[in-house]
Amino acid sequence: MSWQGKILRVNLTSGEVTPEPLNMEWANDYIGERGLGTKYLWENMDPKADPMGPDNVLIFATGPLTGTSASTSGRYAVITKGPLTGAIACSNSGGKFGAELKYAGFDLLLVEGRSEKPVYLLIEGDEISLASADKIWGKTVWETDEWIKKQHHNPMLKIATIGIAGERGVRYAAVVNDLHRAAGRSGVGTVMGAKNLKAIAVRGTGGVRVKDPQRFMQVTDEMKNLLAKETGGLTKYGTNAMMDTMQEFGGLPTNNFQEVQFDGYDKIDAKAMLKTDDTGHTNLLTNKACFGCTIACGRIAHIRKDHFTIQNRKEYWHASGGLEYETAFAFGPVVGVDDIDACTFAGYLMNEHGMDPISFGVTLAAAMELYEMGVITTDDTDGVELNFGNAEALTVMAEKTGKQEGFGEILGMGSKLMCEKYGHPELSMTVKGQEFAGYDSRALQGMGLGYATGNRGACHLKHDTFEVDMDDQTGEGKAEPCKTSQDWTAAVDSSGLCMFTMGAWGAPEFAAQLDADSEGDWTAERLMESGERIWNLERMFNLAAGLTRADDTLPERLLKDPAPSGTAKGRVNELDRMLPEYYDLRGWNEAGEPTEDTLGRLGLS
Amino acid sequence: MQVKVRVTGHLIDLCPVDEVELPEGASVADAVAALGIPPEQVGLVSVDGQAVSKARRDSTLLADGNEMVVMAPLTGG
Amino acid sequence: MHRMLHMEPSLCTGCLQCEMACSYEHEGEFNPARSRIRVFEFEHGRTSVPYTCTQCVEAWCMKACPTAAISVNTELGAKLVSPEACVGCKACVSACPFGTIEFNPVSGKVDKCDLCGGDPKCVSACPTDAITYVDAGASGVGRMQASAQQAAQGGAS
Repeated sequence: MSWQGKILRVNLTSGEVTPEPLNMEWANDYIGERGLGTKYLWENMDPKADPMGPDNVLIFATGPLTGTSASTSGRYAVITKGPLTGAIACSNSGGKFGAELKYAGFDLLLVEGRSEKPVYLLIEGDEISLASADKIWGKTVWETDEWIKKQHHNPMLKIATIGIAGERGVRYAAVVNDLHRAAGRSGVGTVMGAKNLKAIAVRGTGGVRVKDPQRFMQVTDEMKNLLAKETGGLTKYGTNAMMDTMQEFGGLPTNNFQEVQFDGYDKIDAKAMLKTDDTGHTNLLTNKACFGCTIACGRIAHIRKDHFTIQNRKEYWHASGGLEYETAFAFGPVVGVDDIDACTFAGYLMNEHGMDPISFGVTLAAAMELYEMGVITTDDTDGVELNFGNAEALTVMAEKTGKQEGFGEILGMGSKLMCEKYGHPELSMTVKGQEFAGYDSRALQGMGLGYATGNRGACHLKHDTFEVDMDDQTGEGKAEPCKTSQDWTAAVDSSGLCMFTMGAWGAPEFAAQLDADSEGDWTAERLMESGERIWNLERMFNLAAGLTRADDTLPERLLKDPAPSGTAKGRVNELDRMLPEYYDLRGWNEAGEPTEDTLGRLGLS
Repeated sequence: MQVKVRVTGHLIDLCPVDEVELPEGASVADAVAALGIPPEQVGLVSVDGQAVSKARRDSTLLADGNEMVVMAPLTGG
Repeated sequence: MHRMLHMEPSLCTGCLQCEMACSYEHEGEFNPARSRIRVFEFEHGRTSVPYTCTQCVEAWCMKACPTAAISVNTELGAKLVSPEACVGCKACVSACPFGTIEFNPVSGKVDKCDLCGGDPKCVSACPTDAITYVDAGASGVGRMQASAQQAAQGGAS
């Protein structure tokens, strides 16, 4: 029921692919996807293992609702130990790949070991093989997608692949599926490359069934109606609708987080994407949905053919994924650039070469600050002037980093290692080695706490204190909503559905859908409890990997340099006030470790 | 009195105007209502750059020439 | 009134709810590989196009079938496959110029759109009205109207 009941263990060292029964006890305790993948990771590797070595395990996990007609049912997670952070990495993606894996009969893929030569995994119904990737190693994501489909005469294959960035060890390389969706963060693509696994291609022709079909159809229809009323601007504008809100609020990180507002915001925000210029060109072409999604927040855009980035490069004249909030932030304010075509092109390069735009943009921002300080010069940067606002520097460096050429090799290290290399670690805007997303912690205090305590480093997607943070710019009372939203988001991330439904659906709405879908009784309480269990298991992994309370912190800039403008002008992040409250609420000791009581209560002893 | 208005995000579709005429002594809450924006679709209101929390929308009074920004809620992503 | 499925690609987001609804209706499970309607994407998703059988009046599939397994439901205009008579020879699959009748290796028969007895499930599942079930004699009216409007605006200046 909802599960296919099978996982696939892929041992790249021996070349063996082995179906195994899905561990239903774990599925029932950890819901699926993020939670289930984390449990499989915990049980199959030593958290102290080298993320780039053969003992790291790489998991692709679907949820119980993936592949069903519930809205947003296309999600899957990629879970491993992250080379960027040395902590657990859990990256979530949409598109079509996840549902296809389920239809092929697998709830989860577990990849271990390391292949001596580059390979790709091919699953066509019950035909499973590891094929030589010698013809596609060195090819881009888009070339690989096309090649594999042609090679196997199967246009219906869904492909998750790394680009050159992942092959060459860019620390924040992504897994890109369906051309422009991605499991983007923490270097999950880097792990795939380190294992010499180029791609996974799947075609599934089986079906997914649910426990109570009639009730399921009825409940999911109701939920779709609810969702239709509450998507805000997501359908029409995509997530980039938030840019002007962040600007007015004064939390839009600019010039490597030196500022919190950006003058050029209205040249790259959602409304700018809809404007038609005097040549008749409009950036946005249409919106797009992932598998099963009735919101359709995805953007499809195109770049002006006469723009400096692509004027002689016909291969980029086609449409592709357009600016979301995070890409707009990472290629816009944080590097000071307000050229919408340059930002869009940088986005194309991220998908084509398989990289995390957030980590790239914030790393480039740090490099720009180093350059403006005179710590690095054009001698270091291949002659490129790395000033904030230089759109050409943005796109040239994005391409160099994707292909690992010149200064791109330095940028590919991530800002933490790069800034340490140049003697200025304080300029790396990271937590646990992972770069911040586009919300400044001085303006959004609870976000800061979430960033500091996030299990995969600075991440904006694993908690949600936006409402309280907008209403109250202090650190007062932020620990509780942070903790609760972390647990709740862990549950949502484990269900197979997309977190963008959280504005319309709470725990009861998720539980109603899950209960009609999966074996056992699913209630709101059980979801929340499972979420807390998942959060604590991730924490246990990190502690075993060697992380400590000292890693639950924020950069000096956010703790000491007051926000220079906006509604939070003059504020710094109040982490030292919020953190002890948070540990206490979590049932952790002062060292940030779950107590015996807490572990016992959650069944984690 | 005239109050200048900016809205963010998808609120532009609910409220395309850039100023609003209000009676003397009008509060922020009155202004939001006059603009036809449901309060639950407001993330934050600021007046001349100062944030006005939900609890203070009724008691914060506006003056002629104020610049009010009505911000959509943030959703993440 | 005789109705037909009308596809408006500009409204299609590629969500594939139609494929799930179709497979659920006919097979009792969510399985796009068994859906009679398919959505095709072009240029990185710039265009998404749902497509299925257009219920030809003089149907190649019907004429090709050696066992007369394909018949017409005159009320709906739908061409229906009788699983009892179908032998899985796939002559119809070769004959259809549009590729909208397909062999099902699991059942050994062919599958095609049957308009769900007059209540097409793809239509009710589509969140954007990219698929509608309209008067078969007037599916072009929307475009004609848009053209007329454009012509009037052009002439007005």
